[in-house]
Amino acid sequence: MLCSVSIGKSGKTWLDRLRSGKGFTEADNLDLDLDHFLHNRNEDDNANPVLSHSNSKSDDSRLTCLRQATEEICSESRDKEWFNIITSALSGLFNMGHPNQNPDFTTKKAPRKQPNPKLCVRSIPATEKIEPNCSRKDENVPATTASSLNSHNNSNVGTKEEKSTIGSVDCEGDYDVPEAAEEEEEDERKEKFNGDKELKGYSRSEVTVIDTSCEVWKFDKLVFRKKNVWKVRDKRVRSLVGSNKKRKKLEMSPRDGNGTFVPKKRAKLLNQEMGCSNVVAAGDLAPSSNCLKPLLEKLEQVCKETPNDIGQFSKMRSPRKLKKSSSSVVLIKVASRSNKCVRNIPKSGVREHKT
Amino acid sequence: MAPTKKSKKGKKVSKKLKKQKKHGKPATTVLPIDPKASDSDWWDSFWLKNSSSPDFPVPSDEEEGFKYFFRVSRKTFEYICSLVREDLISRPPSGLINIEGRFLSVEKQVAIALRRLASGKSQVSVGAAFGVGQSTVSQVTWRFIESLEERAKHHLKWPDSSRMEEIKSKFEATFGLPNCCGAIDSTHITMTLPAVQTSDDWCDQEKNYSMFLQGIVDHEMRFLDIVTGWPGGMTVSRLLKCSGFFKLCENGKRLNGTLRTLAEGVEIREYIVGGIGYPLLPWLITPDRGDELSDSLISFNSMHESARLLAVRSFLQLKGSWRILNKVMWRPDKRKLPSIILVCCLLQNIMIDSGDQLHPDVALSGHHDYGYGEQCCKQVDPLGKTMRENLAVCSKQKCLLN
Repeated sequence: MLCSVSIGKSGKTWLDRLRSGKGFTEADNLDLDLDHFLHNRNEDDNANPVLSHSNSKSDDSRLTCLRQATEEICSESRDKEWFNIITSALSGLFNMGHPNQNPDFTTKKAPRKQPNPKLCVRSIPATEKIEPNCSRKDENVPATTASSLNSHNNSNVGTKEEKSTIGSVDCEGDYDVPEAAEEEEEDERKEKFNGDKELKGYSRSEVTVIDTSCEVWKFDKLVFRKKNVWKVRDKRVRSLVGSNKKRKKLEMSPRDGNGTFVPKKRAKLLNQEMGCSNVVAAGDLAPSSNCLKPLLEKLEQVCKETPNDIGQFSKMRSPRKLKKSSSSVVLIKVASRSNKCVRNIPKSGVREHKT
Repeated sequence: MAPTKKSKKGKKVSKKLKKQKKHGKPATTVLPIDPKASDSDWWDSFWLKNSSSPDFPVPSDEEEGFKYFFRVSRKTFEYICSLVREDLISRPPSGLINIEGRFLSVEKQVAIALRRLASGKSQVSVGAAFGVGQSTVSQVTWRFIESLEERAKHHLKWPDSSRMEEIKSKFEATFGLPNCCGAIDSTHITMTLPAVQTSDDWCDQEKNYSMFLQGIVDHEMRFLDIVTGWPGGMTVSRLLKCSGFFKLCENGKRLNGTLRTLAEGVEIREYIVGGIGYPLLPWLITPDRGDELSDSLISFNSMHESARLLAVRSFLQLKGSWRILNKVMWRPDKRKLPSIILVCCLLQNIMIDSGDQLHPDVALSGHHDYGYGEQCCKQVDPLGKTMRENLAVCSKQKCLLN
């Protein structure tokens, strides 16, 4: 409550700060009686702009002055003005609710947490920006979902969510109409120079090809399509993993961002939360741990900027996980949980890994 | 009715066979077959059951009827059985069984698979014709496909130099095209896919979901090279560029045989002929579709077209013989579909190699890619253009001589 605050130990300090902030002179700081200050402000204002700190003015005289003040509308409004100024300043400091409310000290303080918490949108781009791998995984997610529905091998293309980010595939595309063909060639030439980043806007399909001109007739390829532009890439088959034994070893002793060993479960959780696929995480843990640093930095920044939002997220966590996780891990978890796509990534990763 | 014990074993047969293969166990270690227990009289019961169907006109002659149902002659059928016997043979304690509890003979399994591929009818109706269930048809067909695509590879290969010389001479004799090694074309294998956006990549220009099949055929409509599995939404020129054949040709590792020297001292390299959907390249000659064509080019175009039609007819025969490719497949497994297509091509080659005469009614009429407009590729390689002009001059001289 405001009264208790004003009387408390730190009262002097904050009041000093408040007064200096509001443009009061040093002399004002000597008057520590807030009630006195508030009620006499009007009276003193007329006579003496600087508040006298003497005790010569009795309570009675103050009351009479008040009564007189209530009779005079003008002076009343001025009084209210002062009340408002102080109240707004205090509410700014203590989050008391609406600053223009009459500072009724008995009323409850407005809750600091939002009644209807919303997800922090800012954290989502943060996770996406961190690692190109992570965004790639987003692309993979829908593919798997769809493939699981279809029982089609060439999953990897994308759910509706993914597609909405990638852009729609135009099936009506012109087929070797001269202009289209030229466009296609031109597009290819343009995009030859950009490494794998160019595949960002493409939909992705896994195809099984039989070509009798090749040594091995049957093989899998990845096809990326953006309207009329097609790109074909080799499908990486467990290239990152090596043997199963090696994989198991790596899983047993993953390292976190600082190079220290982390338990297998926690490492898995970290990878999942950061949206790093299991394909990468299982075979080569370096990229996943690299994901961690920038993510933590970014999240720290977010944490500083929006403490309330982080508070909201922390509410979403289960208590068990809270206990286990360090604060930074919790934040990562929170950030990724807000995104359904990211949440699905590990599954897709696993699936892709199997095929 | 089949005892439950046996039917359980029957279901496990595929897995067991795979295990045997994996561990390199010789098939001879398994118990010998009791011929009495096997379903060897499958043809008699099948013929009896299906020869008098009011739905379709079955030839009265049994031999013709056999070809009607399975496309191949009895002799070729036996040859196919011999190819896949090792993989399909049912032995106790495992092995596929029919509804009466008897083991399915290799012949019956091959017949079921061929009937499924030839008719394109549902697994249920094919199963009903043979007295087996839908799952048996599915299992048998896939086992047959897996086996044949491994064991009949030698029926689809790029010819060696001596064979190629033979093909070239036939092309020149029939169409007047010197040093021509074959004709190329492509077709769409259409299918239905679930209405999810992952299917969009398979959507082609006609808004069908389809998979491409590209083939190069010789003068007998035998497939010399195929590529399949690429989405039907690609352009034909893109499909070509994705193929291993294109890479081999561009690297000089294919169509690199002897040059043919014409009367004027002009040298003609080996090449194939293709439609306007393909780019004009030194090794792939397309017709000239210019507005004002010289006589020689007009003459060349007609010769070119008749040679190219070999590929078109080959696809008509393929899709007519193996109707599964001509029907819209319902949500096929896209990993398996290329194998189905390959096996159909292999079967066509086996038939040609065996000298089977296809019934004229079997091949499709019209175009193999019905409903698809012809694509046009404007890519012209200067060397290809020179080649075409030289060939046009040559064709005009031949016309004058004739």
